[in-house]
Amino acid sequence: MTATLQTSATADINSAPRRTLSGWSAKPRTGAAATLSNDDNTALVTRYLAGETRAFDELVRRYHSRLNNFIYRMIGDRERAEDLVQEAFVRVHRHLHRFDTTKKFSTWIYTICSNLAKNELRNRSRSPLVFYQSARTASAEEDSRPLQFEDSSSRPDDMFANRHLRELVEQTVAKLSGHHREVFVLRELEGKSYEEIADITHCNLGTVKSRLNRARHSFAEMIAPFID
Amino acid sequence: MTRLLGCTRYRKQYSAFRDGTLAPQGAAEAQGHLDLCEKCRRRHHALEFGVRLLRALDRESAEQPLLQDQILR
Repeated sequence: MTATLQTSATADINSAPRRTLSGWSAKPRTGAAATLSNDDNTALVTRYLAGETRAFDELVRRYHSRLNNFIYRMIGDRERAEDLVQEAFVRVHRHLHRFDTTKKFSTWIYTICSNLAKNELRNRSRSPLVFYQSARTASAEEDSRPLQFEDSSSRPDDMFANRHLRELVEQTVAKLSGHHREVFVLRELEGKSYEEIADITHCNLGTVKSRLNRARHSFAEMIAPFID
Repeated sequence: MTRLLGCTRYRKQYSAFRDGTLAPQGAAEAQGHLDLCEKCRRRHHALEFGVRLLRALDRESAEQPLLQDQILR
């Protein structure tokens, strides 16, 4: 795990002024930080650029979990997803002064994460060893994941069925092609509009619509035989 | 009167139906198809179920402490 944190992202975080690793985590709001929660993203960006560093923490708190889930769905490796989210925030921090505040902040940060996830998949396809190691890590993580979702009073066969269903839906998303998976996750899990998905994926609206329709049908066709 | 919709046309309109953006007439036709076609109905319910489960898994993961916080603790 220590090795996982030795990324360029972490190095940048550690070298950034007035910034610590824990300072960028999505901790619950307390005290004065709670007042930032009423601001929209653009206002937070403006505050941060004006020198109010807590505003960046609020952006991290808002986006960390959903970006982590988005990248995880794209690449299938939770630990690597965490690295890439850190990298995304480093890039946002580095280029925030160039952000066009007439645009949507969420589109910008999702685009960064989408590009990072695509690069990760591209790098894996070029390096079979990396892919193999990542796949091993991912499967080990799944095997040791605690069964927190189930009621502890459930019967063992119910618990097995629940766990089986969880693995089934995760694997079904993973089986979608990269293009289909991306629009499926952005629409169904992240709740993005078609226009925003088009911006994030650099596709036109027609392509987004047709990919999403096909992705939904593929997902449904794959999962239906296993569901009563 | 609501037209009967075949599987092919229903599938083409499916995303708009799921997003709730079909005009009332189109939505009624798609719903009418679902009422009659067991295969499409099963797939529609499977998609809804799968997405609900994925969202629940994402919520569960969001509630877990960050890896970096666990390490620093």
